[in-house]
Amino acid sequence: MDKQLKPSAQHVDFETILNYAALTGDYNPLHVDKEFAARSPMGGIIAHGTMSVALIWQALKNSLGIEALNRVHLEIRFVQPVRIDDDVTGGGELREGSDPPLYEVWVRNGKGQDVIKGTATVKPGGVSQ
Amino acid sequence: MSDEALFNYDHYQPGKLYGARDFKVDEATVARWRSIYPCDDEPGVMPAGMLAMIVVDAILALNSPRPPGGVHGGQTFDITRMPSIGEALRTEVSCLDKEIKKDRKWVRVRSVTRAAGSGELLFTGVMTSLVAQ
Repeated sequence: MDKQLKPSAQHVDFETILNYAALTGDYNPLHVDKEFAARSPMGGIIAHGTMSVALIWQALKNSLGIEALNRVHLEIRFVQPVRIDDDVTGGGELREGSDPPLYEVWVRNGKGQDVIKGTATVKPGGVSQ
Repeated sequence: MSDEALFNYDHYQPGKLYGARDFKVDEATVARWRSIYPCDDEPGVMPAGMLAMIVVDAILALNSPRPPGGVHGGQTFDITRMPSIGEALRTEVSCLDKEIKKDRKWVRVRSVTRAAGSGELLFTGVMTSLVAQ
């Protein structure tokens, strides 16, 4: 098992957020309506949290192979919003001595702040790459 | 739209099943996904990021219309088998629990996704949300 997941990154612009909203059907105005979002406690547009979760899956796939994803138990918290024009990176580190293997996973913005934190456990069984 | 018409905090009943939503992992949808995430390019297997999309699609369909401005607080996924491209899925949605903490209304919704034809379990999840009303 790799100790460090190979990271995956994405630039999040407003067009990408709108495309994600159209794809998922999630038109929560916090994501797509600048005036509504500005008046909300968020103070402006935030990206869908699930947009960034994809980066964690990519980091897991990059390191463990696609077959291993069939055995993953993922638990995450959205701890900070992603804003327009943030650069976000998903990655993780193997918790030492964990059995089954457990990765501390995260997505961080360009300032190095966590926007998502959690764990990914690779359950026993099957064959991974 | 009146507040009474919205699927708000009061409508969530722990233990209640809200029904099922079908989702087809078709090539066109995967292509749109890959236009946002070009490196999700493995042939045959659905990009794992789409798991969240399937859950959100089911919840938006079965717990709606939602009050605007809710926030996603957390998520779990437990994978048994990643769906394949072309596969038809069925996702059941139920309320796990809910609570008010510091005047914030939190709900946890459980999803169970199976292959539509065989009923094979593919993945389960729990989505934690801060509902706006």
